[in-house]
Amino acid sequence: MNLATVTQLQQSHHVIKEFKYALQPVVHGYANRTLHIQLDTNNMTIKPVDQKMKDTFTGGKGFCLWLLWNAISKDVKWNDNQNELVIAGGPIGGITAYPGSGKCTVVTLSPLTKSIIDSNGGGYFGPLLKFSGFDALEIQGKAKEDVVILIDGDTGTVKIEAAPLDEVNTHLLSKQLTDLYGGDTDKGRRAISVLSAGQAAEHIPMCGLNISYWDPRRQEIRIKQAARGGVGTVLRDKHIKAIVVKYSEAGGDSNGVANMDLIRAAGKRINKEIADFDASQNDMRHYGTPYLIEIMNRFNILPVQNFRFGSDPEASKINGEVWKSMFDFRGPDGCWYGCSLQCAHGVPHYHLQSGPYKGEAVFVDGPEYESLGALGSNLGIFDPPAMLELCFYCDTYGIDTISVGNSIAFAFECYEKGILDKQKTGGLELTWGNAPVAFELLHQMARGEGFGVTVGQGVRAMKALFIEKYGADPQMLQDMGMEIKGLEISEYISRESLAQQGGYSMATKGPQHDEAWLIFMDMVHKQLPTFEAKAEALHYFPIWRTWFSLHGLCKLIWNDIIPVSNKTAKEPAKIPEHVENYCWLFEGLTGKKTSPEDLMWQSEKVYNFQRLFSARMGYGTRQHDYPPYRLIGPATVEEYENLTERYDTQLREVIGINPEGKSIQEKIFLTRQYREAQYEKLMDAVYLRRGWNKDGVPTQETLKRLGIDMPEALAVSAAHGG
Amino acid sequence: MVQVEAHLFATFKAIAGKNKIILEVLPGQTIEDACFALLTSLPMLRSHWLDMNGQLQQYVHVYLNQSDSATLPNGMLTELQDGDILDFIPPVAGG
Repeated sequence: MNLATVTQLQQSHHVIKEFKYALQPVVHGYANRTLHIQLDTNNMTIKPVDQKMKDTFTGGKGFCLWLLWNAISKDVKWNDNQNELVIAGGPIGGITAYPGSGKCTVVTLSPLTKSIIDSNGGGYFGPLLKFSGFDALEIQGKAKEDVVILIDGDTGTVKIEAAPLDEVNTHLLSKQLTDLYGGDTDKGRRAISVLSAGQAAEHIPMCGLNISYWDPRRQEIRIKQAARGGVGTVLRDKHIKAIVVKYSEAGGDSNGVANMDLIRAAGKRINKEIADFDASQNDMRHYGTPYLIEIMNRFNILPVQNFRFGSDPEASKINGEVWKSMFDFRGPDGCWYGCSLQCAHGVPHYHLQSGPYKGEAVFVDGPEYESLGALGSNLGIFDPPAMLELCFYCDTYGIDTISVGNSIAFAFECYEKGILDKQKTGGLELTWGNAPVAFELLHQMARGEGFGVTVGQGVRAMKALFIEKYGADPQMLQDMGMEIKGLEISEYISRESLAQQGGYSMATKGPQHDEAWLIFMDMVHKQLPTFEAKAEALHYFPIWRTWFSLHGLCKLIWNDIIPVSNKTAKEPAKIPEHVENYCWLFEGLTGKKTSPEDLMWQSEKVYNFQRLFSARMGYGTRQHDYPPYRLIGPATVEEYENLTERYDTQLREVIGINPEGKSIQEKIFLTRQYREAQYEKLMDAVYLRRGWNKDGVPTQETLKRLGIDMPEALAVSAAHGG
Repeated sequence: MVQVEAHLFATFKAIAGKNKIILEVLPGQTIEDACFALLTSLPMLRSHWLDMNGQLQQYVHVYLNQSDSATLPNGMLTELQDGDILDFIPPVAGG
């Protein structure tokens, strides 16, 4: 393959606009300004961050939401000039004394859900952006030609450069730009982080962003993803090939903290815990998240064949130990300096079987549990090389593995049910386990042709199309289409956990596990026996989990290692010792005494603001909080028959109906009536606990209590009966 | 004797080098007794499962016939029956 050389790139990159800014240090975790780029006019502006903005929105996702709220009107669509891509790290992000501190969050109007989406990823971009001088980056408008944006924190320069010869697919583009701006030394390359999408982002709405960092031990570009909701599609819609940030002097004291000793104390405590117990607990340092496959399979929670079933005897073929034997352990696997959990594994020297890079040996980042669930068990594919092929191409083309996995699974089931046939799919046989067909669908998405482009529109769009074009049964497609709000559901079957059904369905952005993962607490540990307990959990945990993306932190450090003190903790699910660590971090950063309640307070404001923002855009209300029935109960005869004993017992003992003599269809109907009523009750209980009205909108009282009672916010609430 | 099948998952399986073992316990013996019987058969797990006082670490989750032992009326002191299945699973938190 002939790629443009660094010299050719240098010659072809002409500067469209250059902007100089004064360098200044980060103070107490904040750069105290944000950067706005108006791409259609190439205008660049620096905005100050005042104390009120910090007190109200904290940083990270909070800043992104506030900037976007001020930038767009309620009628804006995702591909309008006015829509913004907003990216931020967070005040704690970038410290090196505590693991998992390199995340950034991206917020925009989603091409998939049409509403506000936030998606977060690791890599170096968030910290380097802040150290370069900006707490957040807003990009509005569309460039007239393909560009690369360079933010150079070493010289205080922002450049918009025409980029005609640069590749689009991430594995090539990230390498080109790392070499172009970082040179040929490890030090130079480590100063670079490239944020890019891929070819498919030009054709389908489910593309995410790849965030790069240089791995000197392996001499490889590594990537993490902010994958969800189409943030990469927005990048390409703006004709941006990549955003590059460069900062060479990142170090342990780059955050200008108030009390480094307190931060070091938190870091020392967690690092010792990881050193002492990770190998005995989840061994993230050798398995990463794929260890979950066999456990989810055991508890009937692993999505199999479009979430119809929860386990498969073949799941052992994609278990954690399979990946451990393939991972490259030549160096540490943290995606930011100082991460001792080191779960960002990868497989070297994989030889591609298909597509434009067929025959090439590549490094494949991951795979993660979610990708294995979406592209493996959910498609009936249990072949590790096929998993690597799918993961690699999803990454380099910019495709979200969860959305595309669920979308292909939906198409497979439609094919099985006769809604689709070979004539409609362009000759592709969409059968369970057919890996070559899954490869081809991805390549079609990247080329922008064939049935792959239809699948790439996502489950919600396919439902509408198949109903309109092929006369498919709307109820059946609604029941089996695994999306809520237009976002495909992440990879856990929640039929036996009402709290998890709520966690998925009432998540403002859509059904993503990072906001509420209550399935084990509820279904397995039975810690949430009442509606009140479930509602309390659905108040606390989504708000708490939101806190991490305000600060540029990784959640895995909070709950994928368990301290000894949890044995005597009053509320072990909250992991109080780790919450105390986070209090120390914020206090060490700012010098302000900080309690667990203070952290929740930061988060509750932003959580409610996002809900209100969604309502302002025409979403974020009760009607958008309903899941497909398959998430709640058995939607088809085969699903019921797969677990007849369980469902019959529930009919008898929980619902109070004798199943004897009843047909499966009758039993499905009775079960459905009961479970859907339970879900309605849960919604009422959760809305009440969150301070929302019956329509799921924060009330005026809630907005005032939280100090997010700006006139327009109050007006949105009032318009929805708040 | 009461025969119980013990399944080991994820990290525990890797440390033990096997995913399944048949345990024989006396009638009337409990889940807790089975845990220590298992540690006798698979001593490589001892340093990972036991704290300084010789007690099971709280992160060793034990399930009896897929029910979390902590949710059973008698917890780890639940008596075992012939044919019971015990699952040993490390802590699961979800991303």
